[in-house]
Amino acid sequence: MNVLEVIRSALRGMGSNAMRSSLTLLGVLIGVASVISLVGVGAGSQKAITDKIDALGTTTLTVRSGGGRSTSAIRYQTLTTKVSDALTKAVSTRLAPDLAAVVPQVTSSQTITAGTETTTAQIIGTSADYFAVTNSRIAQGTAFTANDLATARRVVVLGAGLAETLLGTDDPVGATLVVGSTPYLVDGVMAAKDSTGLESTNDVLIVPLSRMQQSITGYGALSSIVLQATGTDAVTAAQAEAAAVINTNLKIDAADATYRIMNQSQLLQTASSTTSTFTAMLAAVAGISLLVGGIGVTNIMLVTVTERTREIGIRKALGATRGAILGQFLTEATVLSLLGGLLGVGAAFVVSHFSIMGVRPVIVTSSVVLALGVSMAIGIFFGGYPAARAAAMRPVDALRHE
Amino acid sequence: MSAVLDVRGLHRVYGEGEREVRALDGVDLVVEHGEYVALMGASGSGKSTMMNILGCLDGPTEGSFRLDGIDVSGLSERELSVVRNRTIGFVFQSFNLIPRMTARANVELPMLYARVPAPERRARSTAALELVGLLDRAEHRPNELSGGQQQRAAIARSLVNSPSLVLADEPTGNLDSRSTGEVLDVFDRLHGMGRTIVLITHEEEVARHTERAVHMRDGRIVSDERLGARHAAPVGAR
Repeated sequence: MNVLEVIRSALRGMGSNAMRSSLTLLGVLIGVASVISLVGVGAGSQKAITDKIDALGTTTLTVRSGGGRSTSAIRYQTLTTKVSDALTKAVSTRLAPDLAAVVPQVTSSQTITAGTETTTAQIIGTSADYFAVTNSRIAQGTAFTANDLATARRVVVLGAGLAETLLGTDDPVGATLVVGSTPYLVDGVMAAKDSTGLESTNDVLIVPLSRMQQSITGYGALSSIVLQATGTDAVTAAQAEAAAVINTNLKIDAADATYRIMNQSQLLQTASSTTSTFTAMLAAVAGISLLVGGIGVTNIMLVTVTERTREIGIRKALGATRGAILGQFLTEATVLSLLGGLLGVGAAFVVSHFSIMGVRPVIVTSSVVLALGVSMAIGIFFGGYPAARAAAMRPVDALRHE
Repeated sequence: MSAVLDVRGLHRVYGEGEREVRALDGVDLVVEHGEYVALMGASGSGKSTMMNILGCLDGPTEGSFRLDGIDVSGLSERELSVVRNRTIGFVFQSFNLIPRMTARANVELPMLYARVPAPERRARSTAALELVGLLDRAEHRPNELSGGQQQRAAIARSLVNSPSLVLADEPTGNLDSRSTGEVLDVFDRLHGMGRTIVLITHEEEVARHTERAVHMRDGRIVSDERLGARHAAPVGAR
C-alpha cells in the first residue's frame, strides 16, 4: 500500500464515524489553538511592555527603591518627596546639568464616582512635568500646573478611556468626580494612547502629587521617580549625577544604595523576565489542554480498534502484515491529530485578530511549528498503543470477534 | 509438482490438563492440484480448526503441514502473512467484506497488500468481478448487495492473487437456496478452470457438487470418498 492509499483509507475510516472523529479533532484543535494563542498573548504583552518603555523615550531614567542591603523598612524611607525635591533643586540650581526634569510618582487604586457611574482605576499622583516627560498630550482642557501642585488643588486630568467610562459623551472639563470620598474638578483629558499591555494607559487618573499624599496615600514613599536627561548622549551622565544627589540626600555610600536607577534597557530586562515567566505559565496551561486532546486521541483509537477487530481479522486473513495494520491505525491517529492541529493553527490565526485580556496576541512562528509538531507526535505516541494492540491480534481471534 | 495440501499427523490441542480439548487428533490429508474437495463434519468435529490451520490463521500443536510444497510450520508471522496473501484465497460464511468499501475496493484489497500497481489492480479486479458476474455492481457497497452478491464479491476477492488454494468455510451457510445455487455455480466454474478448492460444509447438498468428500469426526478423518463422475460433466451443463 502506498502512502496516498493509506491516507485515503485513514480518511475513510474517520469518515465512518464522523461525529466521533470530529469531537476528537476538536480536542486537538482546542489544544493547539490555545498553545499558539496563549503563547501569542505572552509575546503580545511582552511587545506591549517593550513598546511602552520605548514610548518613554530614550532619555528617561527610572529610580525605584530596592537593591543592595535594603529591607522593607529602609525601602519605605528611601524614595520620598525629600529625594525628589532634592533632585528638582539640583536641576534648577544646575547642580545636575544633564538632568532636564524630575517627575515623582505615587500610584494607588481608587474607587471613582461621577454622578451614577462608579469604577475603580489606577490613580497617579505626580508633578506637572509628567505630561511632557511621558509624551501625554492634553486633548481637552488643560493639564494642572506647578501652582496647582503647590496649593494641592483638587484637580484631575483623566485618561481618554476613563473619561468615556465615567462621563460618556458629556463635556468632561469642569465636571466633578469623587475619588475615595473627596470631590475633584476635572481640569483636562489626555489624548487616547495605543493601549499597551496588561494595564490600559487610557484608564488612569492623574492628580497633583501633593493632593494625592494629602488625601489618599499619606506622606510615605514614592512609587518611582522618572528622570529626564537633557539628551540621549547625556543619559549616563544624568544617571551618575542623580545617584550623587540621592546619595548625598540619604547620607549613604554608593555601595550601600537602597535604590536603583534603571535606564531603558535595564527596564526592558526586568519587564521581559516577568513576561517570559508569564508566557511560560500560559504555555504550560495550554500544553495541558493539548495533552488532554492527545488522551482523547488514544481513547477514540482504542474504541475504533475494538470496534473494527473483525475488520483487522479480515485484513490479516487477506495477507496484511503486522506492519500494515500498525501503519493503518497509526496513520488514522496521525491524520486525525494533524488535521486537528492544522485547524487549531487556523483558529489561532482567527483568535489573534482579537485582543485577549487587553493584549493583541502576536503569533510566534516557533509556537506554530511546535504545536503542529506536538500534535503530530501526539498522533504517533497516543495512537501507538491502540495501533500496536490492533497489529498484535491473532487473525483467528480477530475473525471470531462479533 | 507437489500437492497443494500435504498434512501429516496433525494435532491441535486447546487448553491444558483437565480442560484439554483435542480439536485435531492425528489428521492426514493430501489434496492435489485441481481437486474440488468437501471437508464435512458436524459441529465440534474439528473442521473449523482444520480450516484455520489450512488457512494459516492458526498453527498446529504437532504434525507437519506443507502448503504448495512449503513447510508452513517453520514460517514467521510476516512470512505467514505473505503465504495467506499469495497462496490462499478465503471465502467465509459471513462474507467478511469490509463495510465501508465498495465491492471493487474489497476485491482489490489483497492486491494492495501484495503491492500490485493500481492499473493492474483495476484490470484484475474487473476480470474477477466479471468472472463472478458482478461487474455491474462493482461500485456498490456490501450493504447495497444481496447475500449472494456479497458472497460472489468475496469469491472474486479470493481469486485476485491467483492463489494455489481457495478455502471456503461454509460459503453457503448464510444464503437462501437461490443464492446458494449462484455461489455453487461459481465454484463449479472455478473448478472447471482448474482451481483447487477446499470447501468446508455440513450440507450433503453442497458436498454433492464436489468430487471428493472428506468426513471428520472427533478430530479425525473417518472417511474419504471419491464422488461420482459428476465433475466430468461439462461445466455449465446444468
